[in-house]
Amino acid sequence: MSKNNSGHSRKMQRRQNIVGYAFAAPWILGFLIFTLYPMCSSLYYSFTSYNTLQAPRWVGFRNYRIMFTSDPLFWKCIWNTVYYAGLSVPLGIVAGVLIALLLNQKVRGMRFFRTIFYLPTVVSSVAVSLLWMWILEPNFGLLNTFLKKIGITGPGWLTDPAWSKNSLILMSLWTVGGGMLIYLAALQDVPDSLYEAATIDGANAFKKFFKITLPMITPTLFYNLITGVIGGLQVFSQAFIMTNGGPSYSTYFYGYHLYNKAFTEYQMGYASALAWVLLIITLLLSLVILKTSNKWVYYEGK
Amino acid sequence: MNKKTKTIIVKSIVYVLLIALGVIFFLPFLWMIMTSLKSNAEIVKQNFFPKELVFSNYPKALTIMPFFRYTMNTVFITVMNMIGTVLSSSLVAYAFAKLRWKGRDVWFVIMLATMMLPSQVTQIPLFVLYKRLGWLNTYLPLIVGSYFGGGAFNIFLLRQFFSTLPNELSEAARVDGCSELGIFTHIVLPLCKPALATIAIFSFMGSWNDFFGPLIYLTDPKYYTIALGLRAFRGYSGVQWNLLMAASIVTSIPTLVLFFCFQNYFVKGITLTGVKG
Amino acid sequence: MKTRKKIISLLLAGTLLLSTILTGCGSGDTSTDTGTAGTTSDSATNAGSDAADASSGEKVTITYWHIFPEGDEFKPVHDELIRRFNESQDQVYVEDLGISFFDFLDKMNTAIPAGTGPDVAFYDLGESLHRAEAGAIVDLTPYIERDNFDMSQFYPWTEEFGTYEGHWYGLPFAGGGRILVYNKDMFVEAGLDPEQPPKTLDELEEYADKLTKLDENGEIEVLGFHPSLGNVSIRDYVLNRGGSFFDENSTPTINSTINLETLEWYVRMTNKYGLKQVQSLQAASSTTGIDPFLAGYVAMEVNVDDFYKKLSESDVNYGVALVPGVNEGENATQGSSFDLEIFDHGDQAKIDAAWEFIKFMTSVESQQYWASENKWPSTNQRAMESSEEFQNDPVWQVILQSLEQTKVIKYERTVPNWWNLLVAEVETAQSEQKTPEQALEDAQSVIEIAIENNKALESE
Repeated sequence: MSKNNSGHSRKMQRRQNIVGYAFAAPWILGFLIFTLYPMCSSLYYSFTSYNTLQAPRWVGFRNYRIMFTSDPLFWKCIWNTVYYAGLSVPLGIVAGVLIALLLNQKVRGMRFFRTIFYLPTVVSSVAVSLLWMWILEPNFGLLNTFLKKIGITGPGWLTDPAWSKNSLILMSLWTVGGGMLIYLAALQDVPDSLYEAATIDGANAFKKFFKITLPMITPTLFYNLITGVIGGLQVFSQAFIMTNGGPSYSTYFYGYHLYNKAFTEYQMGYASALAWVLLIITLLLSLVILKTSNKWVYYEGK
Repeated sequence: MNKKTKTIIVKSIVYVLLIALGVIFFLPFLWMIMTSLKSNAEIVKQNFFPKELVFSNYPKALTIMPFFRYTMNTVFITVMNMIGTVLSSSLVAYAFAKLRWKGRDVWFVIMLATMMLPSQVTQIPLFVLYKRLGWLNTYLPLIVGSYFGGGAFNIFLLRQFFSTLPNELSEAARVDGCSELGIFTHIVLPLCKPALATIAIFSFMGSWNDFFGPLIYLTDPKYYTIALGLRAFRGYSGVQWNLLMAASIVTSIPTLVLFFCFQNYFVKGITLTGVKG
Repeated sequence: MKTRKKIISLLLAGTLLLSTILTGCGSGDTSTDTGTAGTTSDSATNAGSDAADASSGEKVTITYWHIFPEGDEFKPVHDELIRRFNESQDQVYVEDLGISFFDFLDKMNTAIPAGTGPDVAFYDLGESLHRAEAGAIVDLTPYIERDNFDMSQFYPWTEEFGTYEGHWYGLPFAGGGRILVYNKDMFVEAGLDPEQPPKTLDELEEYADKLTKLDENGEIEVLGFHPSLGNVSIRDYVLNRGGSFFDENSTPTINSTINLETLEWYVRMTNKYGLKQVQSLQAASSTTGIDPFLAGYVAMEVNVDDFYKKLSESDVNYGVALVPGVNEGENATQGSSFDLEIFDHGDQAKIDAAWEFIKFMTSVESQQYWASENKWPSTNQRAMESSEEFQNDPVWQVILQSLEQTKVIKYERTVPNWWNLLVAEVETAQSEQKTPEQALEDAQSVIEIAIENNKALESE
């Protein structure tokens, strides 16, 4: 390689860097101005005793030590959260893809059906929570009344510790509308020519799905997996509105513990430590997914 | 079995599934409508259909608070955010998906990390930051963020979509002397209309339904938004469900209309099939 | 409007800036004009300042945040009180902001640490100690002494849990204890005298048996009584029996004999009719406001005093009575009270103005108006007892009697969330996973651990 050439490529690289940073500038600036300071503050709080009304007081690693050694609720809420995220994320992805496939069919009135399927996402979350409480009420609720008619005694969906988490997972599937929309958009990006070629080769619908559709939408699956894990590990509001974390702490999630520490017990230092532990757990999980993504995510551009 | 009967069978299955699932998904809205038509006395009973329909709940719900003003405020915030988010998140996503620059992967992981910290612990310092900027009781904290990338979730999503585009098109344009912005606006964006529509809808929904931001940052009711106004129906002594539902239905109509209209972007266009693959 | 224009111009400038920096296809010209963006961002000012000079020149304007937003059913009466105060004053002007009850804490929890909270806030008297300890709110004792403000006009129990080392940090506003509500029509149907509500727990159970109605399939159609439906908790039943959860030294006494007896009764009553999962109805009623008594699912229910407003608006033929105890005449339940607290922003003139305002709001006259119009009892005893309206109304009479017998639970600063910890264990007893004895033993040790942890977290 001649000297002139490498100088040229270095110049090219510099130009590429400038262009890259110019495009990314809105977010990088936003991060530096609006996100970095609050994040650093919370990291600092995690090493302090801070009741939000008086100045934080440095206590070193004490919050972290107590969290791992003597907080009986810490491990309980970790287990609840892992259980919830571990089931709701994959189920949500499967349900979202299946519904998107259904809504991608070319039949009359599809606009109308898509709008219907998107409805639960539009309805306010409080209303959805109430609706579910009304459906899942064990004595008079819609679901158990129906089950009784076909001779089954339904469980206490939200009141039996063995069922409460599963009920919340079931509920989360109701609002797959957002994920569905993303898959629907992804399905539009699959070139028809691929299907046409496969049809000529005599591939059946299943083969087309697994050989063409699925690989082509892996980038969005990857997105929903990562954001699903992030969201699933932070799950909070349904339990807050519907079950108060109960019964017997069965729906006491990590996010709930954190909220309680921050705003019920005013231990913002401890809550911040909880938050940073969650960040590290989530980040490790995401990096694992990111590393394995080379094997299963198909980017046409690469 | 010939091809025609096969198509008919497939279509019938599709319709059966659509209708069965559609009923389940429509149930909440139907329940909202029924609740919005109940009288105060009947609201406490958990029956599905009201005995008498009280249509006056609608005008009552919409006049109990300055609904028109709230609507104008909300429309303003929402539109500003939609514009900002679509513009800035697509730029940033393009940088993460298609441009090669030093530190890209590190910045990407940092961006993912910003989503992983629960907001409860950054809420107070962020509030203090906006206070120092003198932005409390203005719309700036509710809008400005969307012009600075529009949120990590949106950037990440668009990045995934941009990544699926073949590089050949942009390479060809680059050889023709097109600037990166030119490639971005003339080649990448038109190919990703479904994704942009998704972002637009998410942004719209996010701002339209957000009550927490307005709650924290606004202290003058004349700046209030619909979502914040609706919270009043859930008061100390319980919820005025009929009024809440009436108001919720009226306010969710714009989202539904928007969704209904934007669907053109979710229907395969001719341009897409032509260029890609 | 002014701000909005500024925002638009700022954003337009920003967009312009972006689009001029990064140029389009073909054009190589990259001239930038950054001047506009810089100047506009400086001028994005606080819109709130417009409203500050709404009142006339010399007056001190104070801000007041409460839980009655636009559209709330209690707001008109509350507004009227503020209006009356502003009218009576040439020194002070109160600017108020209503925030929905469920959002109030979120708003306060951010605003107060940032120092942008109001001068006066509508808060929870029992928790004023938390804010007092942190020095966020003003000690009212010097003002009370200066003005010879008579604190004995409030129910004595407000002092019991509302003061901190003898100091007041908030003036009690509305609040209350609990009453038993019962459905008179169901009493008649069950052959009971609708004018003779149960007086003891034994009677309560006997009545409940008679009132419980099964349908043809043997399913429960109407429940006579359930100890956790309505607005009531095991705290009330413990206080009713003279029990407690902590002693004077804040040592937990969760597993005491009285508490065990209470829990055994509570679990037995919960599961008596095989309706194990009725808690969800209760959870539903607390978040949704759909009340099982008003819905006709329960014949008798313990609810809070401000339930009167809802009762009066319902079509149920209701009666009210004191909450029965083990023996006749033991009717104590847990009392609670809102209060008005003054936040210290370092401006003495505002603190003085705020003091005048909260005195007015909690006065006999204001509280009488409040209770009478909103059917929500006042914790101002003199306001309640000096009014003929309350003396002559049978429901108010019962409420007055209940307020007299009310007991309180103090804020436990070493373990503010002890109640959540206890509830989880009570739930295991209700679902019969643990015996009541085991549940209380476990609760005791869980709360002891929490106290240890909290002490460790807060120690120097």
